[in-house]
Amino acid sequence: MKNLPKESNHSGWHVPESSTGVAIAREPRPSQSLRDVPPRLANKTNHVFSQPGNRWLRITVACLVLCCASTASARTIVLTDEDCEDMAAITALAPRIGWAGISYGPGEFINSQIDISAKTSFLIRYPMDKIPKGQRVTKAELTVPFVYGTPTGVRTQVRRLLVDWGPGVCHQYRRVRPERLEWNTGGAMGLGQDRAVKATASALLKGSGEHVFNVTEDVELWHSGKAGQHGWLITTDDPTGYLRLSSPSWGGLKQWKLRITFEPR
Amino acid sequence: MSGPVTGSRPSGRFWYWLALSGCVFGGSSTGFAAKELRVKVLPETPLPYVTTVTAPLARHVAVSEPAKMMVIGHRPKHPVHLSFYRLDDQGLVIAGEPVSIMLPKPAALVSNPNWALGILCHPHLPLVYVWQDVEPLTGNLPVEGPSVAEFDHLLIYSLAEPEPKLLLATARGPEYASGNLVGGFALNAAATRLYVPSMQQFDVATKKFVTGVGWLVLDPDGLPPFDSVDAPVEVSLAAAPAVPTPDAATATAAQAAKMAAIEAGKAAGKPLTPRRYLETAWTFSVQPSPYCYAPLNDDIVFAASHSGPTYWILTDRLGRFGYHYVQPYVPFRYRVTAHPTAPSVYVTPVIYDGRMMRIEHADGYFTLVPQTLLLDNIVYHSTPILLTKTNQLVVGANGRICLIDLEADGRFKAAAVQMTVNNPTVEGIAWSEKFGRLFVPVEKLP
Repeated sequence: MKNLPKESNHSGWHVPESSTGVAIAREPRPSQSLRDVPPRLANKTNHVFSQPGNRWLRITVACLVLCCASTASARTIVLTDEDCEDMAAITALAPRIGWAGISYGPGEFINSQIDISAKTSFLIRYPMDKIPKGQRVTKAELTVPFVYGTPTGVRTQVRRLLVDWGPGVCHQYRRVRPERLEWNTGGAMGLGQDRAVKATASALLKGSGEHVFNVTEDVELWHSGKAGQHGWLITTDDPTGYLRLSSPSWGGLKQWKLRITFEPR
Repeated sequence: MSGPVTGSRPSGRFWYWLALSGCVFGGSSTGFAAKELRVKVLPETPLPYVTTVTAPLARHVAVSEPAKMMVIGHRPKHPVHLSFYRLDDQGLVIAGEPVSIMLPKPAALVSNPNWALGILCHPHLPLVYVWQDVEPLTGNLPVEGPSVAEFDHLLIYSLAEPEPKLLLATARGPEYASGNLVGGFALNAAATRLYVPSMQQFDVATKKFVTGVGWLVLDPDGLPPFDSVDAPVEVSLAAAPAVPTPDAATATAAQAAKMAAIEAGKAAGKPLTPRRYLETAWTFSVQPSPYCYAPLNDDIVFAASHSGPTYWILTDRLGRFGYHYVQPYVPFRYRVTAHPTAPSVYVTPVIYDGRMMRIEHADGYFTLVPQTLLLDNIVYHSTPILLTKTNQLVVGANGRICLIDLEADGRFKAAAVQMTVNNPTVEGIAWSEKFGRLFVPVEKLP
């Protein structure tokens, strides 16, 4: 039951994980409770269910009610960095490196944490196939954990990426396999070409903690197929400040969460 | 209203079935991310190409194809350091007692145990390279005491004769740290670089020795060239040109001439030092350094430092070293192996569990997110070896060797088999391409 959101406990039902490994939580719907069945139906139901040979029927009906209720209402899934296969930390300081988390010395980089600055960004792409088809995304929130930064704070942006990227992604290339493709502007800096012109969300972050960015619009765009799902670039335009993020590849494991609520269209 | 309905509330059995169904539907992925594969049971499979040999307390194995010899390095508790086993034309061990030797050390260190840290065989010449280390502390002697300064870390033996013969003992002094139990030791494909562990360099600013990584240059005769201590020659980083391996007589003559020059230098009070290349880096700031080398080519060298795998791109000044911490975090236990053709590096934490990571690389730079394979009830003990013909990884483990299938691009398949052997900790294994055999030391034959 990992990643089960708090709301899932409100209904009092045990909600199994989906076959994709993502906890699916049904939002509380009091009207679905057996306590709210009208007396006539309740009596009838009680009569049928109380027959000694009808236990299987009772189980089946209960499961059907549960399934119908869960599909008919809004649901929330929580994806974590463990669901992602595509991440990168890219920097203008070393144009070929794909995990330029923090500079460890001259020409040395390490992935244990990730600094974002005007020259360094973090890319992450969550799998959107965990949202069932025919759903409308009503809310999506990206949780970004951070541990340190410029004392005055850093204006941190989440921007939607507009082009595909993959193996070998770095400041210079957006992928090197199956073919070598460069960003329009190094570091995915091409506005309207590599990344969206307008930031999806931004916040002034300082100290340590985590911040929740509202990314509903992007997730709905991706899920509806109106935009290619290429993930986000987490960056800053601040020319002097930097923010140190918990690395989802090491110390920040499971802390990078994408919480998506959706309902049938 | 609650009265009659209460009577129809699902019984305890209902909750039991509901919970059970939840376990069934959710259990397939509980606790495992999508990119983690797991093999719960490894079928026992006899592997016909495995040669087991009785060699108690074995830590290192190397096979000399030109000399048809297998060399075993034993753990410090074993009465001898090295054992040499003759092989026949098929790579099978010839019956008889192995030739055993002790590694030399200065008289001042006679009470300090020494041990083989790594063993390698030249691919074309009947030479075996041994990197040894010694317990440096006796009482309160400093690590870099005068006795340790006379300890030769590199020993080169000739296997041209029936008995192994020590040709050269070198790599001494404070430029090599002592007291390490493990360390990287590898040859490049052309046998022109001998990557060695425990290198260090005196830093004038801090007046301390700084740890590094690098190699000793090897000539076509299999020995390092020697330079004056006062005027070391700068080592080229360009890939070495292909030089044909000399025939045995030519190589022997070149080796003899080189040995004579070294002795002449000593007699004249101008000792010579093997030509070496060293880089210091924060990535390798802690001894032992590194834990292992896995050179892909002369430009890209993978290695393991204390917290995970690293790459060293010699042509990149800006992004020269990349240090990749991995989960599970078990410092000092990572070993790496590079796939020669697929863009994959395999990271094995030893003496931990059956988890192995595959990190994709692009031109040597680690990229994207590692894939993990977990074999249940397995504890790895050796560095994995890649069997190129079958595209499989073989690794020594607790009382067995494990064979792991790979996809064409180097990703793990969720398929592996095991072969039980009589060795509770299979630390050293060796593969011979020429013989097509895998050599596995065991405590005793069944």
